[in-house]
Amino acid sequence: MGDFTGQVAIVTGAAVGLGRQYALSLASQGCDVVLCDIRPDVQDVATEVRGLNVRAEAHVADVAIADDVKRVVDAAMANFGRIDLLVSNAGIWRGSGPKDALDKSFADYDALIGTNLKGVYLFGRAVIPHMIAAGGGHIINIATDHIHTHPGRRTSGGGIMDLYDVAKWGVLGLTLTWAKALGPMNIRVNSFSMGATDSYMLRGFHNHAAPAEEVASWMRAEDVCDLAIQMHREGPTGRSGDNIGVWVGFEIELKPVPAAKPALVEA
Amino acid sequence: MGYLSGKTAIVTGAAQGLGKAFAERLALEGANVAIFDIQPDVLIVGRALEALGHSALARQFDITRLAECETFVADTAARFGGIHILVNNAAIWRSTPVTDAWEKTLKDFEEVLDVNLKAVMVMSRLAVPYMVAAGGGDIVNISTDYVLPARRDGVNAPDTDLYNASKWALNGLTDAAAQALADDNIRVNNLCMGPTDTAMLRALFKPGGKLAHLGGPDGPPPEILAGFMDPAEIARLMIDLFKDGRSGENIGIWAGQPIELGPRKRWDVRMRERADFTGQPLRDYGSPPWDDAPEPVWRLAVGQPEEA
Repeated sequence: MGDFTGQVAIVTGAAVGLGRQYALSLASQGCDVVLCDIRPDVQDVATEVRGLNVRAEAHVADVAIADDVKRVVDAAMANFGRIDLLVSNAGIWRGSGPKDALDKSFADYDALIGTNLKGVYLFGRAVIPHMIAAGGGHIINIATDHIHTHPGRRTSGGGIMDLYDVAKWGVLGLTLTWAKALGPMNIRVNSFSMGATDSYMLRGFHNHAAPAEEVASWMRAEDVCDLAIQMHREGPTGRSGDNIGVWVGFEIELKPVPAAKPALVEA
Repeated sequence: MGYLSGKTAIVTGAAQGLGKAFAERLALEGANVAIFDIQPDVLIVGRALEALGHSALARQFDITRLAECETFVADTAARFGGIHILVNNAAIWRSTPVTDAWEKTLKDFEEVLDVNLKAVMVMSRLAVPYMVAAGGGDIVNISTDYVLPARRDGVNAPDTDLYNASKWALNGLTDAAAQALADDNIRVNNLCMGPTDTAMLRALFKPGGKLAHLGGPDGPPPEILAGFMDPAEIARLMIDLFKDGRSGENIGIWAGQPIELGPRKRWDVRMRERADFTGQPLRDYGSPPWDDAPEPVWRLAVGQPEEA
């Protein structure tokens, strides 16, 4: 029996890397998990998750396609009856910049905005009615440290992936707006802005050939996912509208939400 | 000779409100102005500018139509001999409550982001080669004070997730372009305004609008109108921004406060302000030292992006 026994979580992009780890970490706390990914081997992860004595089912689905999103959420409700937590983890990266040709830009826009922003939007919008009906829930959107850097580092991916950054800033806009809109309905919405983490995407950035010492310098997926567990464990009175920064070289911890609100008007 | 004599500026969404004010001010400073809008009044704005002796090119079309954007940019450069300034002003506002029906949810995403985000990318991509050829330029994106630490209640309206997301997303275009284009002497900034006296805002107070209960057929009552900022003042600030030369900034303009650029802040300070905005004060993250931190240089590490 874990803390989350009886709860149901949806994890997108769950076939590899961080998504898979979110599914396993949640399952280790007793949470049932609905997994989705465009990769068919998400089914293997579901089998692995079921080995932790929870219910799990996997769907091959594209978060950027509305019908796919609806199918996953409808199946979660039909088969498991509730959705307590959504981890919108699915994401892709591509390089892009202001000097790119338009053809490339449109292709990048469709891919990056589709998966990284529309995917978060669609999944959020699809689960919110069920969470409202149930009287509560929690949404965790995965952003990037490009939009929330550690001290001493400039935001953005250095000007070499503008549309990736665009999508992730957009995710922050959704997080903040939903947190405000859904607070009265007892639904929490937060996001994670992680620096280098040992994930499928970062390994892909290095063509899956990053030197071992480089990989060793990254944060471990388990540690980052454990923060999500902690944040979910805060329960209905926990934080909402927060954008958690987690970076290499810093403690991987949930910073407390500062108590005081800022003055509305600066002197 | 005006400050912008010989320069050419494109302003999107210039039929009314801020876009019209930007066009008028740019013309006053001596620039050739090329303007378009989905609303036919943009042609009247163009004729009025020409009547005052300014060089203007005005056209009516929908900014989501790529072919017309391409033709317009090419025609502008051909007629005036280059492009130096782009003001990405065109935008739409729409109430998109999280409880909307699924079909509206899907439709709104495309319609709001196509204008507020995708068109900014398209227009910028189209104009940048001309600015590079001209040896420099300025891109101004129009955002909102939602994306800055709150100075008043009521920002970040809970029923406009897509509008808010589109404006947050502009941070990505501004921030990345400012870095990527710095060597080309092209500056990119966001103007982040609070309530300004525009058609977009007035419509909220008219019958059928979200705040109709506070207004009437003519829009907001005088006491509310008095709290709005004057678009001409924002346009004046934009010229100050060109003269100042800063890049990659979110310029905050809050109603009831002086409309000014404010001091330039060190990049890491302003990035922290922007990145840590959750409605709460900045958190203490301790070391490492950030006083001497150099602006890091990034490059694409290796290989090509992956399709999955």
